[in-house]
This record gives sequence, C-alpha cells and structure tokens, in this order.
Amino acid sequence: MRRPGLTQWLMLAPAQVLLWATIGLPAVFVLWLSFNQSTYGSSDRFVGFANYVAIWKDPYFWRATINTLIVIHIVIYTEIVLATIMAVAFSGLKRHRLLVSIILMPYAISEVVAVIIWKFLMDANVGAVERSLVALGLPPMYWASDPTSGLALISIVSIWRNLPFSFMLIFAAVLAVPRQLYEAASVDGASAWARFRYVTLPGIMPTVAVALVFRYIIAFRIFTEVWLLTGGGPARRTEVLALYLYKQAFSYSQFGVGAATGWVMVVVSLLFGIGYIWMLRIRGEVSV
Amino acid sequence: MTLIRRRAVLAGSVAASLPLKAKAQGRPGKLVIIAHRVHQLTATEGPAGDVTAAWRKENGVDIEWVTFDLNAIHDRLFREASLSHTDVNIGFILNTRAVPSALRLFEPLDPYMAKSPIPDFKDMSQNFVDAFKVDGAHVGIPYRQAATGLHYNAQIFEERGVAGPPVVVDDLLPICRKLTHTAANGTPVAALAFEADNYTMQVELARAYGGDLITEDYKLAADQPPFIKALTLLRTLYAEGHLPRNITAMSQNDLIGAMESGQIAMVPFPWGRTVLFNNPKASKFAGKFKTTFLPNSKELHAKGGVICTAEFWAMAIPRHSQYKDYSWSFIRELSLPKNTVSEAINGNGPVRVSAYSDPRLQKMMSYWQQESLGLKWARIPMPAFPASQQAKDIIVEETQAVMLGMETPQAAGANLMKRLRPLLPA
Repeated sequence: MRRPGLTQWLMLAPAQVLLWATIGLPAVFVLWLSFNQSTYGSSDRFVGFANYVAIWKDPYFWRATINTLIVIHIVIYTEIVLATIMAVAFSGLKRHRLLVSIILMPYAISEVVAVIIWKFLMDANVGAVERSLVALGLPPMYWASDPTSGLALISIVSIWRNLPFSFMLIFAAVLAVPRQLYEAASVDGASAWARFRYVTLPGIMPTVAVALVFRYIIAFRIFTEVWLLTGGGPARRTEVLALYLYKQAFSYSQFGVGAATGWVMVVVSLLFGIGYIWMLRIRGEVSV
Repeated sequence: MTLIRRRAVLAGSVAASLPLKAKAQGRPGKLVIIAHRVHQLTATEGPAGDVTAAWRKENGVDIEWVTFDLNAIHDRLFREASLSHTDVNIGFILNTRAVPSALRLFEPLDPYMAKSPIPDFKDMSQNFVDAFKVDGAHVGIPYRQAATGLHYNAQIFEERGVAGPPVVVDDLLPICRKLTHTAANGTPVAALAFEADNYTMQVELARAYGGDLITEDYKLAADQPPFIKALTLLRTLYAEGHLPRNITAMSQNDLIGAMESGQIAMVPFPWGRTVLFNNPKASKFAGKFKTTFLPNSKELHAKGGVICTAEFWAMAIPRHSQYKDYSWSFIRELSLPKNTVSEAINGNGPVRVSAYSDPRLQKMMSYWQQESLGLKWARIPMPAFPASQQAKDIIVEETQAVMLGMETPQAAGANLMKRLRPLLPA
C-alpha cells in the first residue's frame, strides 16, 4: 500500500483538527480537572489522586457501578439475542420493509418523549400497561418503590429504545450471508437450526462483535431512562454511573470528582471493549 | 421591487446598527438575564401585562431572557459569573444556593442602593433580603417567594364525608384514613402526596410536632422525637396506602396531573398553584380545589400561628459583567411597589407585604389572606450552606428508606445525624 503523502494528510487534517478540538482537548482538560479540587467561586487547587480516592471510598459510586453493570449486561445481551432472532426471521420474509420500518420506530422518537410515555404507561394508578397487568391477574410492577423492579423497567425501556440499532447492523449482516451456502447446507440435509448454527452465525459473528462493543460503550453512559423514570430512587438504589457523575458535577458542584468519575467511566468502558475484541480475536470470530 | 429591496436593506442596516449605536453611547443593546421561565412569564405576560415594557422603552434596551430548569440555571449562572468577563447581566438565584462562595461571585449592591434606592425597601421581607448578604454586603434583591399551603379537593372531601382538612398534625392520619379509597372508575385515590424528592414535607411535619431538622443556626435535630415522629407518620401513611405507590418517582408535573385528575385529595404546594388546579382546561375538578394551612402544632395553633415554609428567588449582578448601572436600574424597576403588585397579578409570589393590601390582587387571589399570614410565619425549610445539595440527597434517601420500610425511623434519624453533621458549617 502506498504511504499517504502531504496532499492526503492535508485532506485528512480538517477532520482530525475537528476531532481534537471537540473530543481530544476537552478530554485532556477533564483529565486535568480530575486532579484538581474545583468548584464555583474558588480557584482550582491541585489535589493529585484525591478525587479518585474519594470515589473509591464512596459506597454510592460502587452501588452505581454495580447497577450500571447489571443494567448494561441485561440490556446488551437481550438486545443482541432479540435483534438476531428478528433479523433471521425477517430475512426469510419477502416483504419485510414494513416490519423493518416498525422496528425502527423507537429510534425516530425523541428519547425524552419516549421515556415519559413509558413512565405514563407504567403509572401505578392510571398506566395502561400496569392496569392491564393487574386486570390479567398479574402482580403490579412496583418499579417506583422496589429497586429491582425499577432497574428491570429501566432495562426494558433501554432495550426498546436501542433494539433498532443492533437490529439494523445484524439484519444487514444476515442479508449479506451468501445464499449459496444455505443451498449447499440444504442439499447436505442440514436442519434449520444447523443452518443457523453453522452458516448464519459464523457469517454474522464479526458484526455481532462490533454491535456488542458499540452497545457496551453507548450503554455505559445510560442516563435518560434512569433520570426520567426513577431519578435514581427510591433511596438512590437505582442510581447509575452517569447519574452519579451528574450529581457530583452539576448538583454538588464538585467538578473534580465529576471529572474523575468521567475518566473512570471512559477507562472501564475501554477495558470492556478491548477485552471483548481480544476474546473474540482469540476465538477467531473477528479479525479486528 | 428595487425600491422595496432598498428599503429593506436600509431598515436592516439601521436595525443592525442599533446595538452598535447603543454601545457607542455607553448603554447596552440588550441585557441578558438567566432565569427560570416563571420569572420571565410573571415579568412579561399575564393580566397585568408586560412589567418591563416601560423600562425598555425609556432606556432603549432590550431584554434577552435565557431560561432553564433549577439545576441548569445555577450551573450556567455560576459558571458565567466565575469568568473574567461575562455577557450575562442579571441572574436569578434560589435561596438554597445562596452560599457565601457563590454569592461572592456577584456585585455588592449597597453602593447602587445608596445612589438609586429601591422605594420602600423595608417593605420587602427582611428575612429574604438578609439571606442574600455576604461579607456584610447585599448581593441579591428578592423577586419571588413560594410559600407553601395545603391544597385539597373539596369534592373528594364531600364524597368521603370529611368535614375539612386537618388543622393540627394529629388530625392528619385519621383524615387520610377516610379519604383514601378506590374511585368508581377503578382509579385508586390517595389521601395525600408531596414532592418526595425534596425535604420540605419532613421538615413541616417535624415543626408541626414542635421540632425541626436543621435550624437556622445549623443545629441538627434529626434524632429528636419530633423528627422521628414525622418519619414514623410518613412510614405509616405509605404503609397504609394513603400516599401514591409511585410517590418516590413522581415529579412536580406528575403531582399536578394527579391532583387535576382526582388521584390525590391533598398536596402541599405554593398557594399560587391553585390557579392551575382550578383551570377548567386542564383540571377535571376545576373550581373544587381549596387551600388552607399545613397541619399545625396544637401550641402554635393556640397562639394564632401557622406552619409555613417558603423558598425564594433573588436577582443578582455578576461581578464581571458590563453595564451594571443598567442592570441595577432594571432590578430596581422590577422591585418597585407597583410592579411587585403587577407581577403578583401575573402569577408571582410577592416579596412585599404591602402587595396583599392591593384591591386588585385581593380580588384575583382568593387565598391572599392565607398567603399573607403564611408569609408572616414562614421559615425556610433549611438554611443555605455549601453542601446543601448533598444534604438534600441524604435527607431524601433516608426518608424514602423509612417510607418504603427499608429502615426504621430511629435508624434513619441516627444516620442523618452522622451523615449531615460533617456537611454543616462549624
């Protein structure tokens, strides 16, 4: 491959400058801030790793971390499994455009509006879904008073919101698997399950890996669903990392602690992402 | 066609040059104000009209209102005020955020007061005025108060055969037991609700039992019998179903919606909210909502006193802003006695006691006597201190834990003592 020359570098430069100006420099500033005690009305004071130590010792940080990990694992795996099942099912249909449009709908609705509608539907008194559950003889979902139910509802809403993203990636991958492979498998007498297991799955695995990594990184920042549904309650039992960060930075005005939390989130999500790619490379399922 | 274009270009040029002309004359083209939407609305819209219009015309200065919600207002304002130069000329600050480190970002107003005083300044609630003093200087002028009364749905009271709302705190539970029921359409009706992501209800109940949570001089009373009794009452109310099941996740808008649709019989809110509850366009029970005082203590009731908490907003000028004389002039304009009345007619909570004697206001505000008496006895629910937001979260967390049965009231009281003490000023 030819090495890029000055012209190529110059053509790449605007995008690189933009990236550095909007992501690189603020990230470096936030890193610097994380080593300072910073609030309104006083000069920043360098405190070394004190903010990181404060986070480490804060039980709310650990509760938020555990809640985040629980929610993102439920959300991501459910989402990937559902997206795969739906992608395979839809690929067999001749007229799947309408169904695909329906699947994409949650992505077209404003995140805030969608979550508020869910909150209304799940209202303990007048919510249509909640009242239907009770009418069917099922127990009501006390998501506002029971932290486990609260986290479950947050997960359900998040899956509903983000399923289109995973679905579109995996659906495209399923459609890209060569038809001849299925024909050859059928000739060999492979069952539907065997065709899925030995033809479809290996074909879509690199895409699934990419979807997993993307969703990990995006889901790690989950905020809107929690903020609008439970606000982190009851009694801060459903707080997630992004909410913890928001409170530190914008409610308590402890910008140093907020910045440190942000960097912890970046590092942890990077570690997860790298870990996944490394694991999949070892298995030979992805050649990133 | 050409003529029109020329005219348009000419008009555009003149309009574009106005701010430059103003600047050249040492006056701003506009003042930028960071506020809540309610401040803008009460100053510019409503039955009394635009209170700012005369000032704008006289000074040739426009007003740009930049409105946010509670957290965002203070974040943006304090951030702007921390800069060495800011285009923000005036900001609205809530009393709970009026901590010394933040107030020092704003201009001392005493020299402006001396040069161009606010008429009848003593008429303003001096408790509110003093809350915005730092290092002996005034940095904020009160604009809006939100004193809390009890709103109740008189139709539900009548249907349930309840004579009236609770007068003293001991009446609250028996009345709630009568009010909680399931409506004919299957909707559960809770007797009482309040903002469970705040601390005012706990404080109001503790005061009704003769105690407090954090006194004005920063004394903690969370483990004292009155506060424990307040937590115990909240636990009982929730356990017996007199509070909505989802109260911990209900926003202020959720509460308003639930009141308007008859899911809740009583709610403590600023008196002015009764207009919303009785609005026929939004409420199923328009005209049926009445107001009264919060449940009282027997002793205070005997003395003619009432339990009332009030939060309030003040206007301040960032230290590093420009055109401070104009900013002061605008603050002064909004604070004039006649304009305080106009703003109240537009829906504001007046900070001048004299406003309640205005006949127009009395005619419009059915609750004026209650609110004026409430203001006389009003106390802030919690004094301001740098870690007040952490304290708020801790109080809410412990209270919710008690309500949901995760913790006993005594344990919560002990936890609050342990956790709040390091946050309070020495």
